[in-house]
Amino acid sequence: MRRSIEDSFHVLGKVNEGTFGVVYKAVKAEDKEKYERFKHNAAELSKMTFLAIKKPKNSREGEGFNKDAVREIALLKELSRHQNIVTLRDVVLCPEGSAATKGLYLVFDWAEFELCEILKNHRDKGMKPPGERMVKSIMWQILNGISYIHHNWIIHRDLKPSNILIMGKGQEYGRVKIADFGMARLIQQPLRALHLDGVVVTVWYRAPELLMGAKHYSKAIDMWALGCIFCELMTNTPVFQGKEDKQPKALQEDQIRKIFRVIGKPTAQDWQQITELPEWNKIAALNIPVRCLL
Amino acid sequence: MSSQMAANFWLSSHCTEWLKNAKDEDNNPEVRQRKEKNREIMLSDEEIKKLRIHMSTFISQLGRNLHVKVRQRVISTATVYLARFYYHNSYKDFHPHLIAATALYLASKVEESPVSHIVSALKELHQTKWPKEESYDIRDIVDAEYFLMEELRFNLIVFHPYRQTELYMKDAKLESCVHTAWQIINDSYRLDLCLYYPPHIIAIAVVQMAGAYHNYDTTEWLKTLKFRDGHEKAIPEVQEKLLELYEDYSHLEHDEIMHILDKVPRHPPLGKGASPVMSPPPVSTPG
Repeated sequence: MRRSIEDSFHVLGKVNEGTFGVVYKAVKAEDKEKYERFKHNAAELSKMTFLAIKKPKNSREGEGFNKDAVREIALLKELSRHQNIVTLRDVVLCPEGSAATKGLYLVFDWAEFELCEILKNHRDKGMKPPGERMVKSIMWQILNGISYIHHNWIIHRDLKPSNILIMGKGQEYGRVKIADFGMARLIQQPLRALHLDGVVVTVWYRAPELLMGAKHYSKAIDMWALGCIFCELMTNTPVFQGKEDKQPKALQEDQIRKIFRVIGKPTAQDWQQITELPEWNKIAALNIPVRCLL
Repeated sequence: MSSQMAANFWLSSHCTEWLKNAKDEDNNPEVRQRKEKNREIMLSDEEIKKLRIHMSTFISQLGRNLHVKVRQRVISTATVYLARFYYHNSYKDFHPHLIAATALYLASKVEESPVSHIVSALKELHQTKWPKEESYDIRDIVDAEYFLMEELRFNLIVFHPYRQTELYMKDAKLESCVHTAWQIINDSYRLDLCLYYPPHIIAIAVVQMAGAYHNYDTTEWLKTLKFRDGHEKAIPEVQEKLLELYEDYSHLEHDEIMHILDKVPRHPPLGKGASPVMSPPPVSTPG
Protein backbone atom coordinates (compact mmCIF):
# COMPACT_ATOMS: atom_id res chain seq x y z
CA MET A 1 0.00 0.00 0.00
CA ARG A 2 2.86 2.35 0.73
CA ARG A 3 5.98 2.49 -1.37
CA SER A 4 9.12 1.75 0.58
CA ILE A 5 12.26 3.78 0.13
CA GLU A 6 13.97 0.87 -1.69
CA ASP A 7 11.06 0.50 -4.11
CA SER A 8 10.98 4.14 -4.97
CA PHE A 9 14.60 5.22 -4.97
CA HIS A 10 18.04 3.95 -5.83
CA VAL A 11 20.32 5.31 -3.13
CA LEU A 12 23.79 6.25 -4.37
CA GLY A 13 25.35 7.03 -1.03
CA LYS A 14 25.36 8.94 2.18
CA VAL A 15 26.37 12.56 1.67
CA ASN A 16 25.88 14.13 5.06
CA GLU A 17 25.29 13.07 8.62
CA GLY A 18 24.68 15.18 11.67
CA THR A 19 22.67 15.54 14.84
CA PHE A 20 19.55 16.08 12.68
CA GLY A 21 19.93 12.74 10.86
CA VAL A 22 21.31 11.59 7.53
CA VAL A 23 21.16 12.83 3.93
CA TYR A 24 21.50 10.45 0.98
CA LYS A 25 21.95 11.12 -2.69
CA ALA A 26 19.62 9.08 -4.85
CA VAL A 27 17.88 8.70 -8.17
CA LYS A 28 14.36 7.50 -8.78
CA ALA A 29 14.15 3.71 -8.93
CA GLU A 30 13.15 3.84 -12.59
CA ASP A 31 16.31 5.82 -13.38
CA LYS A 32 18.63 3.26 -11.82
CA GLU A 33 19.48 1.54 -15.06
CA LYS A 34 20.09 4.79 -16.87
CA TYR A 35 22.34 5.90 -14.04
CA GLU A 36 24.40 2.70 -14.17
CA ARG A 37 24.79 3.10 -17.90
CA PHE A 38 25.92 6.71 -17.79
CA LYS A 39 27.78 6.67 -14.51
CA HIS A 40 30.97 7.82 -16.19
CA ASN A 41 29.45 10.06 -18.80
CA ALA A 42 29.33 13.57 -17.37
CA ALA A 43 27.30 15.01 -20.22
CA GLU A 44 24.55 12.41 -19.82
CA LEU A 45 24.65 12.54 -16.03
CA SER A 46 24.06 16.26 -16.02
CA LYS A 47 20.74 15.64 -17.74
CA MET A 48 19.55 13.24 -15.05
CA THR A 49 17.39 14.13 -12.07
CA PHE A 50 19.09 13.54 -8.76
CA LEU A 51 17.45 13.70 -5.39
CA ALA A 52 18.55 14.36 -1.83
CA ILE A 53 16.77 12.16 0.68
CA LYS A 54 16.83 13.43 4.21
CA LYS A 55 16.12 11.00 7.00
CA PRO A 56 15.64 12.95 10.23
CA LYS A 57 16.64 11.09 13.35
CA ASN A 58 13.67 9.42 14.99
CA SER A 59 12.49 10.63 18.35
CA ARG A 60 12.52 8.22 21.20
CA GLU A 61 10.37 5.13 20.79
CA GLY A 62 6.79 6.04 21.56
CA GLU A 63 7.05 9.70 20.64
CA GLY A 64 5.96 9.37 17.07
CA PHE A 65 7.33 11.66 14.42
CA ASN A 66 10.30 13.84 15.18
CA LYS A 67 9.01 17.31 16.00
CA ASP A 68 11.65 19.13 13.94
CA ALA A 69 10.81 17.00 10.92
CA VAL A 70 7.09 17.70 11.33
CA ARG A 71 7.86 21.40 11.52
CA GLU A 72 10.11 21.26 8.45
CA ILE A 73 7.44 19.45 6.44
CA ALA A 74 4.68 21.78 7.64
CA LEU A 75 6.62 24.89 6.62
CA LEU A 76 8.08 23.58 3.37
CA LYS A 77 4.68 22.37 2.19
CA GLU A 78 3.73 26.06 2.22
CA LEU A 79 7.04 27.66 1.18
CA SER A 80 8.59 25.21 -1.23
CA ARG A 81 7.13 26.83 -4.33
CA HIS A 82 9.52 29.78 -4.16
CA GLN A 83 12.50 29.58 -6.50
CA ASN A 84 15.03 30.33 -3.77
CA ILE A 85 13.68 27.83 -1.27
CA VAL A 86 14.72 24.20 -1.45
CA THR A 87 12.13 22.10 -3.31
CA LEU A 88 10.45 19.39 -1.26
CA ARG A 89 9.30 16.88 -3.87
CA ASP A 90 7.83 14.24 -1.68
CA VAL A 91 7.55 12.79 1.80
CA VAL A 92 7.85 9.04 2.14
CA LEU A 93 6.57 7.22 5.21
CA CYS A 94 8.03 3.96 6.40
CA PRO A 95 6.08 2.63 9.37
CA GLU A 96 7.96 -0.68 9.35
CA GLY A 97 11.65 -1.30 9.85
CA SER A 98 14.31 -0.89 12.49
CA ALA A 99 14.33 1.98 14.96
CA ALA A 100 16.77 3.80 12.68
CA THR A 101 15.18 3.18 9.28
CA LYS A 102 11.48 3.59 9.96
CA GLY A 103 9.84 6.97 10.02
CA LEU A 104 9.75 9.94 7.71
CA TYR A 105 11.90 10.60 4.66
CA LEU A 106 11.99 13.99 2.97
CA VAL A 107 12.78 13.96 -0.74
CA PHE A 108 14.34 17.12 -2.20
CA ASP A 109 15.70 18.15 -5.56
CA TRP A 110 19.41 17.54 -5.51
CA ALA A 111 21.52 20.69 -5.22
CA GLU A 112 25.10 20.12 -6.30
CA PHE A 113 26.85 22.72 -4.16
CA GLU A 114 26.81 24.03 -0.64
CA LEU A 115 27.98 27.60 -0.26
CA CYS A 116 30.39 26.52 2.48
CA GLU A 117 32.03 24.04 0.10
CA ILE A 118 32.46 26.70 -2.55
CA LEU A 119 34.05 29.04 -0.04
CA LYS A 120 36.26 26.30 1.33
CA ASN A 121 37.43 25.44 -2.15
CA HIS A 122 38.37 29.03 -2.77
CA ARG A 123 40.29 29.11 0.51
CA ASP A 124 42.04 25.77 0.06
CA LYS A 125 43.20 26.61 -3.42
CA GLY A 126 44.42 30.02 -2.29
CA MET A 127 42.05 31.66 -4.72
CA LYS A 128 40.74 35.18 -4.43
CA PRO A 129 37.26 35.53 -2.94
CA PRO A 130 34.37 35.08 -5.36
CA GLY A 131 34.02 37.98 -7.80
CA GLU A 132 31.69 40.88 -7.25
CA ARG A 133 29.13 39.67 -9.79
CA MET A 134 28.92 36.28 -8.15
CA VAL A 135 28.64 37.73 -4.66
CA LYS A 136 25.93 40.06 -5.86
CA SER A 137 23.98 37.26 -7.50
CA ILE A 138 24.22 34.94 -4.52
CA MET A 139 23.32 37.64 -2.01
CA TRP A 140 20.41 38.86 -4.08
CA GLN A 141 18.99 35.37 -4.30
CA ILE A 142 19.42 34.66 -0.60
CA LEU A 143 17.73 37.95 0.22
CA ASN A 144 14.95 37.15 -2.20
CA GLY A 145 14.32 33.83 -0.45
CA ILE A 146 14.55 35.28 3.04
CA SER A 147 12.25 38.13 2.14
CA TYR A 148 9.68 35.55 1.05
CA ILE A 149 10.10 33.57 4.27
CA HIS A 150 9.83 36.69 6.41
CA HIS A 151 6.75 37.89 4.56
CA ASN A 152 5.21 34.61 5.57
CA TRP A 153 6.03 35.36 9.20
CA ILE A 154 8.60 32.63 9.41
CA ILE A 155 12.11 32.95 10.77
CA HIS A 156 14.73 30.43 9.68
CA ARG A 157 16.95 30.48 12.77
CA ASP A 158 19.81 28.48 11.26
CA LEU A 159 21.22 30.47 8.35
CA LYS A 160 24.84 29.66 7.56
CA PRO A 161 26.80 28.82 4.41
CA SER A 162 26.18 25.08 4.75
CA ASN A 163 22.44 25.70 4.56
CA ILE A 164 22.73 27.76 1.40
CA LEU A 165 22.67 25.43 -1.58
CA ILE A 166 23.41 26.17 -5.21
CA MET A 167 22.03 24.15 -8.07
CA GLY A 168 24.43 22.38 -10.43
CA LYS A 169 24.22 22.01 -14.22
CA GLY A 170 20.66 21.68 -15.44
CA GLN A 171 17.59 23.84 -15.74
CA GLU A 172 18.27 25.74 -12.56
CA TYR A 173 22.04 26.06 -12.90
CA GLY A 174 23.40 28.61 -10.44
CA ARG A 175 20.16 29.10 -8.56
CA VAL A 176 20.45 29.59 -4.81
CA LYS A 177 18.24 27.50 -2.53
CA ILE A 178 17.81 28.10 1.16
CA ALA A 179 17.66 24.76 2.95
CA ASP A 180 17.11 23.15 6.34
CA PHE A 181 13.93 24.38 7.96
CA GLY A 182 14.26 22.12 11.00
CA MET A 183 14.80 25.14 13.25
CA ALA A 184 12.43 27.49 11.44
CA ARG A 185 9.30 28.77 13.12
CA LEU A 186 6.12 30.61 12.40
CA ILE A 187 6.26 33.69 14.59
CA GLN A 188 2.80 35.13 14.23
CA GLN A 189 0.90 34.58 17.46
CA PRO A 190 3.20 31.92 18.87
CA LEU A 191 1.58 29.72 21.51
CA ARG A 192 4.96 29.15 23.11
CA ALA A 193 7.63 31.77 23.66
CA LEU A 194 10.49 31.48 21.17
CA HIS A 195 13.26 31.40 23.74
CA LEU A 196 11.85 28.15 25.15
CA ASP A 197 13.13 26.42 22.03
CA GLY A 198 16.64 26.81 23.44
CA VAL A 199 19.76 27.87 21.60
CA VAL A 200 19.29 28.74 17.95
CA VAL A 201 21.72 29.53 15.11
CA THR A 202 25.28 28.19 14.86
CA VAL A 203 27.51 30.30 17.06
CA TRP A 204 29.51 32.10 14.29
CA TYR A 205 26.26 33.36 12.75
CA ARG A 206 24.43 34.05 16.01
CA ALA A 207 23.14 37.59 16.47
CA PRO A 208 24.29 39.68 19.47
CA GLU A 209 20.80 39.76 21.02
CA LEU A 210 20.79 35.96 21.10
CA LEU A 211 24.31 35.88 22.54
CA MET A 212 23.08 38.18 25.28
CA GLY A 213 20.20 35.86 26.12
CA ALA A 214 17.29 37.84 24.63
CA LYS A 215 13.95 36.25 25.39
CA HIS A 216 12.26 38.05 22.53
CA TYR A 217 13.85 38.06 19.14
CA SER A 218 12.67 38.36 15.59
CA LYS A 219 13.51 38.36 11.89
CA ALA A 220 16.56 40.46 12.68
CA ILE A 221 18.45 37.36 13.80
CA ASP A 222 18.25 36.01 10.25
CA MET A 223 19.49 39.36 8.93
CA TRP A 224 22.52 39.23 11.20
CA ALA A 225 23.37 35.77 9.91
CA LEU A 226 22.98 37.04 6.35
CA GLY A 227 25.35 39.89 7.10
CA CYS A 228 27.92 37.37 8.31
CA ILE A 229 27.45 35.35 5.13
CA PHE A 230 27.84 38.48 2.99
CA CYS A 231 31.09 39.30 4.74
CA GLU A 232 32.29 35.74 4.30
CA LEU A 233 31.59 35.93 0.57
CA MET A 234 33.58 39.15 0.27
CA THR A 235 36.59 38.01 2.26
CA ASN A 236 36.55 34.24 1.85
CA THR A 237 36.70 33.77 5.64
CA PRO A 238 34.00 33.53 8.29
CA VAL A 239 33.90 36.96 9.87
CA PHE A 240 33.41 36.14 13.56
CA GLN A 241 34.99 32.79 14.34
CA GLY A 242 34.38 32.58 18.05
CA LYS A 243 35.33 29.52 20.00
CA GLU A 244 32.15 27.83 21.17
CA ASP A 245 31.76 27.11 24.86
CA LYS A 246 29.98 23.76 24.78
CA GLN A 247 28.66 23.88 28.33
CA PRO A 248 24.90 24.16 28.57
CA LYS A 249 23.70 27.75 28.90
CA ALA A 250 27.26 29.03 28.66
CA LEU A 251 27.89 32.67 27.85
CA GLN A 252 29.63 32.64 24.46
CA GLU A 253 32.21 35.13 25.59
CA ASP A 254 34.70 34.56 22.80
CA GLN A 255 32.04 35.07 20.12
CA ILE A 256 30.86 38.25 21.83
CA ARG A 257 34.42 39.57 22.08
CA LYS A 258 35.07 38.89 18.41
CA ILE A 259 31.97 40.81 17.38
CA PHE A 260 32.35 43.78 19.69
CA ARG A 261 36.03 44.11 18.91
CA VAL A 262 34.90 45.01 15.40
CA ILE A 263 31.65 46.86 15.83
CA GLY A 264 32.42 48.29 19.25
CA LYS A 265 30.61 47.41 22.45
CA PRO A 266 27.12 48.82 22.19
CA THR A 267 25.96 51.23 24.87
CA ALA A 268 22.52 51.93 26.26
CA GLN A 269 22.49 55.02 23.99
CA ASP A 270 23.00 52.94 20.82
CA TRP A 271 20.64 50.21 21.83
CA GLN A 272 17.96 51.12 24.29
CA GLN A 273 16.87 47.82 25.73
CA ILE A 274 20.36 46.39 25.94
CA THR A 275 20.54 46.85 29.69
CA GLU A 276 17.50 44.62 30.09
CA LEU A 277 19.08 41.65 28.34
CA PRO A 278 19.87 38.81 30.76
CA GLU A 279 23.63 38.72 30.06
CA TRP A 280 24.14 42.47 29.92
CA ASN A 281 25.84 42.83 33.29
CA LYS A 282 28.47 40.25 32.41
CA ILE A 283 29.05 41.88 29.05
CA ALA A 284 29.22 45.38 30.48
CA ALA A 285 32.08 44.19 32.65
CA LEU A 286 34.14 42.93 29.70
CA ASN A 287 36.95 45.11 28.47
CA ILE A 288 36.88 44.92 24.69
CA PRO A 289 39.13 47.21 22.64
CA VAL A 290 37.80 48.07 19.20
CA ARG A 291 39.81 46.96 16.20
CA CYS A 292 39.41 47.51 12.52
CA LEU A 293 37.71 44.70 10.62
CA LEU A 294 39.73 44.34 7.43
CA MET B 1 -7.31 41.10 3.53
CA SER B 2 -4.65 38.52 2.86
CA SER B 3 -1.80 40.69 4.04
CA GLN B 4 -3.11 40.36 7.58
CA MET B 5 -2.74 36.62 7.60
CA ALA B 6 0.10 34.55 8.88
CA ALA B 7 1.15 33.58 5.42
CA ASN B 8 -0.44 34.24 2.10
CA PHE B 9 -3.74 32.43 2.41
CA TRP B 10 -4.48 32.43 -1.31
CA LEU B 11 -1.30 30.44 -2.00
CA SER B 12 -1.56 28.20 1.05
CA SER B 13 -2.34 24.49 0.95
CA HIS B 14 -5.42 25.32 3.02
CA CYS B 15 -6.79 27.44 0.16
CA THR B 16 -5.47 25.52 -2.83
CA GLU B 17 -6.03 21.94 -1.67
CA TRP B 18 -8.44 21.89 1.23
CA LEU B 19 -11.35 24.08 0.25
CA LYS B 20 -13.83 21.65 -1.20
CA ASN B 21 -16.81 22.25 -3.38
CA ALA B 22 -19.79 20.28 -2.10
CA LYS B 23 -21.16 20.10 -5.64
CA ASP B 24 -18.16 18.14 -6.91
CA GLU B 25 -18.35 15.43 -4.29
CA ASP B 26 -20.48 13.00 -6.27
CA ASN B 27 -17.69 12.77 -8.80
CA ASN B 28 -15.01 12.09 -6.23
CA PRO B 29 -14.41 8.33 -5.91
CA GLU B 30 -12.82 8.63 -2.46
CA VAL B 31 -15.76 10.59 -1.09
CA ARG B 32 -18.18 8.16 -2.67
CA GLN B 33 -16.35 5.26 -1.07
CA ARG B 34 -16.40 6.97 2.32
CA LYS B 35 -20.15 7.48 2.06
CA GLU B 36 -20.73 3.87 1.03
CA LYS B 37 -18.67 2.51 3.90
CA ASN B 38 -20.48 4.70 6.40
CA ARG B 39 -23.72 3.28 5.06
CA GLU B 40 -22.39 -0.26 5.43
CA ILE B 41 -22.26 0.23 9.18
CA MET B 42 -25.77 1.70 9.08
CA LEU B 43 -24.89 5.28 9.89
CA SER B 44 -27.53 7.69 8.63
CA ASP B 45 -26.64 11.21 7.51
CA GLU B 46 -28.26 12.50 10.66
CA GLU B 47 -26.15 10.20 12.82
CA ILE B 48 -23.00 11.20 10.98
CA LYS B 49 -23.79 14.83 11.72
CA LYS B 50 -24.22 14.01 15.40
CA LEU B 51 -21.09 11.89 15.48
CA ARG B 52 -19.17 14.79 13.97
CA ILE B 53 -20.47 17.11 16.70
CA HIS B 54 -19.51 14.54 19.30
CA MET B 55 -16.02 14.33 17.81
CA SER B 56 -15.51 18.04 18.19
CA THR B 57 -16.66 17.94 21.81
CA PHE B 58 -14.46 14.90 22.40
CA ILE B 59 -11.33 16.67 21.09
CA SER B 60 -12.11 19.71 23.27
CA GLN B 61 -12.50 17.55 26.35
CA LEU B 62 -9.31 15.70 25.52
CA GLY B 63 -7.44 18.95 25.00
CA ARG B 64 -8.66 20.38 28.30
CA ASN B 65 -7.82 17.24 30.25
CA LEU B 66 -5.34 17.94 33.00
CA HIS B 67 -2.82 15.50 31.54
CA VAL B 68 -2.74 17.48 28.33
CA LYS B 69 -4.08 21.00 28.74
CA VAL B 70 -3.49 22.65 25.40
CA ARG B 71 -4.61 26.02 24.10
CA GLN B 72 -7.78 26.47 22.07
CA ARG B 73 -5.85 26.86 18.81
CA VAL B 74 -4.34 23.39 19.18
CA ILE B 75 -7.83 21.97 19.68
CA SER B 76 -9.09 23.89 16.64
CA THR B 77 -6.21 22.70 14.46
CA ALA B 78 -6.77 19.13 15.59
CA THR B 79 -10.46 19.41 14.73
CA VAL B 80 -9.60 20.62 11.23
CA TYR B 81 -7.25 17.62 10.83
CA LEU B 82 -10.09 15.38 11.88
CA ALA B 83 -12.52 16.95 9.40
CA ARG B 84 -9.96 16.56 6.62
CA PHE B 85 -9.20 12.97 7.59
CA TYR B 86 -12.85 11.92 7.49
CA TYR B 87 -13.37 13.69 4.20
CA HIS B 88 -11.73 10.70 2.50
CA ASN B 89 -12.15 8.02 5.16
CA SER B 90 -15.02 6.23 6.83
CA TYR B 91 -15.85 5.53 10.44
CA LYS B 92 -15.85 1.89 9.49
CA ASP B 93 -12.10 1.82 8.90
CA PHE B 94 -10.86 4.19 11.58
CA HIS B 95 -12.32 4.66 15.04
CA PRO B 96 -13.02 8.36 15.59
CA HIS B 97 -11.66 8.41 19.14
CA LEU B 98 -8.29 7.08 18.00
CA ILE B 99 -8.11 9.60 15.17
CA ALA B 100 -9.21 12.41 17.51
CA ALA B 101 -6.41 11.62 19.96
CA THR B 102 -3.91 11.33 17.12
CA ALA B 103 -5.04 14.60 15.58
CA LEU B 104 -4.53 16.37 18.89
CA TYR B 105 -1.13 14.72 19.28
CA LEU B 106 0.04 15.85 15.83
CA ALA B 107 -1.54 19.32 16.10
CA SER B 108 0.28 19.89 19.38
CA LYS B 109 3.59 19.28 17.59
CA VAL B 110 2.72 21.57 14.71
CA GLU B 111 1.50 24.32 17.02
CA GLU B 112 4.74 24.11 19.00
CA SER B 113 3.22 22.86 22.23
CA PRO B 114 3.81 19.11 22.15
CA VAL B 115 1.89 16.96 24.62
CA SER B 116 3.26 13.75 26.00
CA HIS B 117 0.46 12.31 28.12
CA ILE B 118 -2.17 11.91 25.46
CA VAL B 119 -2.70 8.26 26.36
CA SER B 120 -3.53 9.00 30.01
CA ALA B 121 -5.90 11.75 28.93
CA LEU B 122 -7.68 9.44 26.53
CA LYS B 123 -7.91 6.70 29.12
CA GLU B 124 -9.35 9.03 31.71
CA LEU B 125 -11.90 10.47 29.31
CA HIS B 126 -13.00 6.98 28.28
CA GLN B 127 -13.28 5.81 31.87
CA THR B 128 -15.33 8.77 33.02
CA LYS B 129 -17.58 9.27 30.01
CA TRP B 130 -17.36 6.34 27.61
CA PRO B 131 -16.63 3.24 29.67
CA LYS B 132 -17.59 0.92 26.81
CA GLU B 133 -14.94 2.33 24.51
CA GLU B 134 -11.62 0.66 23.97
CA SER B 135 -8.65 2.64 25.14
CA TYR B 136 -5.57 2.97 23.02
CA ASP B 137 -1.89 2.93 23.88
CA ILE B 138 0.87 5.07 22.45
CA ARG B 139 1.70 2.43 19.85
CA ASP B 140 -1.78 2.81 18.37
CA ILE B 141 -1.43 6.56 18.29
CA VAL B 142 2.02 6.45 16.73
CA ASP B 143 0.70 4.05 14.08
CA ALA B 144 -2.31 6.22 13.42
CA GLU B 145 -0.03 9.25 13.08
CA TYR B 146 1.28 7.72 9.83
CA PHE B 147 -2.22 7.42 8.43
CA LEU B 148 -3.19 10.89 9.54
CA MET B 149 -0.07 12.52 8.07
CA GLU B 150 -0.61 10.76 4.79
CA GLU B 151 -4.30 11.55 4.59
CA LEU B 152 -3.57 15.18 5.32
CA ARG B 153 -1.24 15.06 2.32
CA PHE B 154 1.37 16.48 4.71
CA ASN B 155 -0.47 19.80 4.72
CA LEU B 156 -0.24 20.69 8.37
CA ILE B 157 -0.55 24.47 8.53
CA VAL B 158 -4.12 25.51 9.04
CA PHE B 159 -5.74 28.95 9.02
CA HIS B 160 -8.34 29.86 11.63
CA PRO B 161 -10.92 32.65 11.75
CA TYR B 162 -9.90 33.92 15.22
CA ARG B 163 -7.44 36.62 14.32
CA GLN B 164 -9.52 38.02 11.51
CA THR B 165 -12.63 38.01 13.63
CA GLU B 166 -10.76 40.11 16.13
CA LEU B 167 -9.70 42.59 13.43
CA TYR B 168 -13.19 42.76 11.95
CA MET B 169 -14.76 43.28 15.37
CA LYS B 170 -12.49 46.26 15.86
CA ASP B 171 -13.28 47.54 12.39
CA ALA B 172 -17.03 47.21 13.02
CA LYS B 173 -16.63 48.77 16.48
CA LEU B 174 -18.05 45.68 18.11
CA GLU B 175 -15.22 45.07 20.57
CA SER B 176 -17.76 44.55 23.33
CA CYS B 177 -19.04 41.40 21.59
CA VAL B 178 -15.69 39.70 21.07
CA HIS B 179 -16.42 37.09 23.68
CA THR B 180 -19.63 36.02 21.93
CA ALA B 181 -17.83 35.88 18.60
CA TRP B 182 -15.13 33.69 20.10
CA GLN B 183 -17.75 31.31 21.39
CA ILE B 184 -19.41 31.08 17.98
CA ILE B 185 -16.09 30.33 16.29
CA ASN B 186 -15.38 27.56 18.77
CA ASP B 187 -18.82 26.13 18.07
CA SER B 188 -18.27 26.39 14.32
CA TYR B 189 -15.76 23.55 14.58
CA ARG B 190 -18.64 21.19 15.27
CA LEU B 191 -19.44 21.45 11.59
CA ASP B 192 -17.24 20.89 8.57
CA LEU B 193 -17.31 24.60 7.68
CA CYS B 194 -13.51 24.61 7.47
CA LEU B 195 -13.70 22.26 4.48
CA TYR B 196 -16.01 24.49 2.48
CA TYR B 197 -15.45 28.11 3.48
CA PRO B 198 -12.28 30.16 3.85
CA PRO B 199 -11.64 31.45 7.37
CA HIS B 200 -12.29 35.11 6.54
CA ILE B 201 -15.80 34.26 5.30
CA ILE B 202 -16.48 32.34 8.51
CA ALA B 203 -15.09 35.33 10.43
CA ILE B 204 -17.44 37.80 8.72
CA ALA B 205 -20.42 35.51 9.28
CA VAL B 206 -19.49 35.22 12.94
CA VAL B 207 -19.02 38.99 13.39
CA GLN B 208 -22.52 39.60 12.06
CA MET B 209 -24.03 36.91 14.26
CA ALA B 210 -22.25 38.13 17.37
CA GLY B 211 -23.40 41.67 16.56
CA ALA B 212 -26.98 40.54 16.02
CA TYR B 213 -26.93 38.65 19.32
CA HIS B 214 -26.15 41.93 21.08
CA ASN B 215 -28.64 43.89 18.91
CA TYR B 216 -26.09 45.66 16.73
CA ASP B 217 -26.83 46.10 13.07
CA THR B 218 -23.82 45.29 10.86
CA THR B 219 -25.30 45.79 7.39
CA GLU B 220 -23.54 49.13 6.89
CA TRP B 221 -20.21 47.65 8.00
CA LEU B 222 -20.63 44.75 5.59
CA LYS B 223 -21.01 47.23 2.73
CA THR B 224 -17.55 48.61 3.47
CA LEU B 225 -15.92 45.25 2.67
CA LYS B 226 -14.78 44.32 -0.79
CA PHE B 227 -15.21 40.75 -1.97
CA ARG B 228 -13.75 38.64 -4.70
CA ASP B 229 -16.38 37.74 -7.28
CA GLY B 230 -19.44 36.53 -5.45
CA HIS B 231 -17.65 35.36 -2.32
CA GLU B 232 -20.07 37.30 -0.13
CA LYS B 233 -22.83 34.88 -1.11
CA ALA B 234 -21.21 32.32 1.15
CA ILE B 235 -21.78 34.41 4.28
CA PRO B 236 -25.52 33.71 4.68
CA GLU B 237 -24.81 30.03 3.93
CA VAL B 238 -22.40 29.86 6.85
CA GLN B 239 -24.87 31.67 9.09
CA GLU B 240 -27.68 29.34 8.14
CA LYS B 241 -25.58 26.32 9.03
CA LEU B 242 -24.56 27.80 12.34
CA LEU B 243 -28.18 28.67 13.18
CA GLU B 244 -29.24 25.14 12.37
CA LEU B 245 -26.51 23.89 14.69
CA TYR B 246 -27.81 26.06 17.52
CA GLU B 247 -31.46 25.27 16.92
CA ASP B 248 -31.35 21.54 16.37
CA TYR B 249 -28.11 20.25 17.82
CA SER B 250 -27.27 22.34 20.83
CA HIS B 251 -27.88 19.43 23.11
CA LEU B 252 -27.10 15.83 22.28
CA GLU B 253 -28.14 13.09 24.68
CA HIS B 254 -25.31 10.96 25.95
CA ASP B 255 -27.32 7.80 25.24
CA GLU B 256 -27.90 8.85 21.71
CA ILE B 257 -24.17 9.27 21.06
CA MET B 258 -23.50 5.98 22.79
CA HIS B 259 -25.97 4.33 20.46
CA ILE B 260 -24.19 5.80 17.44
CA LEU B 261 -20.76 4.81 18.77
CA ASP B 262 -22.05 1.26 19.19
CA LYS B 263 -22.39 1.05 15.44
CA VAL B 264 -18.76 1.99 14.90
CA PRO B 265 -16.43 -1.03 14.91
CA ARG B 266 -14.28 -0.94 18.04
CA HIS B 267 -11.32 -2.73 16.53
CA PRO B 268 -11.16 -1.46 13.05
CA PRO B 269 -8.02 -3.02 11.65
CA LEU B 270 -6.13 0.21 11.25
CA GLY B 271 -6.20 1.03 7.60
CA LYS B 272 -6.67 -2.52 6.37
CA GLY B 273 -9.49 -2.59 3.92
CA ALA B 274 -9.35 1.15 3.68
CA SER B 275 -9.22 2.51 0.20
CA PRO B 276 -5.73 2.23 -1.24
CA VAL B 277 -4.25 4.93 0.90
CA MET B 278 -3.03 7.60 -1.40
CA SER B 279 0.40 6.75 -2.65
CA PRO B 280 2.66 9.77 -2.74
CA PRO B 281 2.51 11.62 -6.04
CA PRO B 282 5.13 10.53 -8.54
CA VAL B 283 8.37 12.40 -8.21
CA SER B 284 8.29 14.87 -11.01
CA THR B 285 11.20 16.56 -12.64
CA PRO B 286 11.76 20.20 -11.78
CA GLY B 287 10.49 23.00 -13.96
